[in-house]
Amino acid sequence: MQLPSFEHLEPRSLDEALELLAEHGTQAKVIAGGTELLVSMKQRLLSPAYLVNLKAVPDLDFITEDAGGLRIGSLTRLSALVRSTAVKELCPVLGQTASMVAAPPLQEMGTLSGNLCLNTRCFYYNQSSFWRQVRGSCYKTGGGLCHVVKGGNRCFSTYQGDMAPTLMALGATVKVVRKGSEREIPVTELYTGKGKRPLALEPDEIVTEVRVPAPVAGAGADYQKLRYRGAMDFPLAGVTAVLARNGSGLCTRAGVALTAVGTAPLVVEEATSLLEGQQVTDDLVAQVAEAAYEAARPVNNVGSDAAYRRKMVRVLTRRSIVNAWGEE
Amino acid sequence: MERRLIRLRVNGEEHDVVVSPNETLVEVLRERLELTGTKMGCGEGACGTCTVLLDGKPVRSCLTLAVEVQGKVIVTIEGLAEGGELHPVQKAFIEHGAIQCGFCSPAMILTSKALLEENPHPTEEEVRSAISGQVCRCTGYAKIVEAILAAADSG
Repeated sequence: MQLPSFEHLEPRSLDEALELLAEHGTQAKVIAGGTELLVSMKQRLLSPAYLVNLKAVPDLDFITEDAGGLRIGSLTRLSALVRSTAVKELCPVLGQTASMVAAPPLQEMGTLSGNLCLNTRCFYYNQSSFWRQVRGSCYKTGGGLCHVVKGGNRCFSTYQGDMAPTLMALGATVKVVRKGSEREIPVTELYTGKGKRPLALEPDEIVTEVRVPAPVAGAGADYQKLRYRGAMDFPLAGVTAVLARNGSGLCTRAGVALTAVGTAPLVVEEATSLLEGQQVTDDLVAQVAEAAYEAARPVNNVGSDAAYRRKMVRVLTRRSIVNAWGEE
Repeated sequence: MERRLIRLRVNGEEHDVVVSPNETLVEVLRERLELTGTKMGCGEGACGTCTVLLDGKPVRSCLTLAVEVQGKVIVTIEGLAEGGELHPVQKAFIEHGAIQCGFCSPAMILTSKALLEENPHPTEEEVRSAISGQVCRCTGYAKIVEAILAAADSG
């Protein structure tokens, strides 16, 4: 499949990139790793007039450590997260999660912010234009129906990024910039929950940095991913648990977040209130797993039965909590 | 759409090519430079047959724009043999029958080369993980893994 035509713009500084985005607005798309964007363009899901390539912008590819925790540049490759000694020491779950995205060659290309800013996906959306033209346009492609949910009055496409639940469970934030302004928001607020327009970013905004808070003493974390093949597949369901314990064996901090079971990744708020201040027993883990099951809202649009994926949320939650908590 | 002259460094040789921004690296390699050892499979990054080495790392050339790899060191399967002598990984693939139809072989061999350069003595699990993004539709994975492990031992 050929790419549609576009102008390739190569800003040499962040200011120049923001200027170009402000100028071209919805006509432009930012390209970082390109592993998702170029596929969408080949499928004619997107045909931007301009691609603003961030690869030549300096100072967006870094992993640094300061008192506040880890600061990771948005152009950091997933493979760099896998290899980084700072990540291994301070926050190994980030490397673990990155190592489970697609496969190693794609981790060499894909970036952290690219993975965070993945578009939502659906069997009826991520197809060639030839394939799609047989059916009418759905909400996601500008029409007025949903091919998945009968009578559905909105788009139910699924958010399938791997990095988001891990960063959300860690309480990470992102720095979002546009010409003349910048803001820092929790990763959770990066997502609208709307399948049609999943990211809470304006066309001229880009994520430049991810900030992961310094690890709490006694913290452990684990990401569990459901997929048919051990590589390549997007998650059919994914759960990250981050837990910390004190000297008397009580849970002092807990974060559990889900991906691929709704239009946005989500934090299971109830997990935090159930776990914090408690001893982590089998019964309690089962309660948290049930809360995660209740929070998950998968539909049949990403290649596996929705009811099965939802049940697996229960299993994955239990596994990730047990692994994060570690041995007594 | 403005066509432009770019210089690509492929297998140690400089090539000047006029390309459009929407041409991918695999298209330029195969159709302009006639380096057809790099295969075009799915075109969506899923199958891995278009893998080339970019600054030593395996990447999908179907999802790489030709205009963005100027100044990078690009190695395709044609660039592995030196002075008529096959690369040890290529020899191991032949000796262990790790080639069936051959369509995935260039990508498998380049991916293996990159793995062995970073990790000269990988475990079987590390080998399987390294090639996990490469599809062999003859399903000859067992022989491929054997060949890579043998190349590691001989190196």
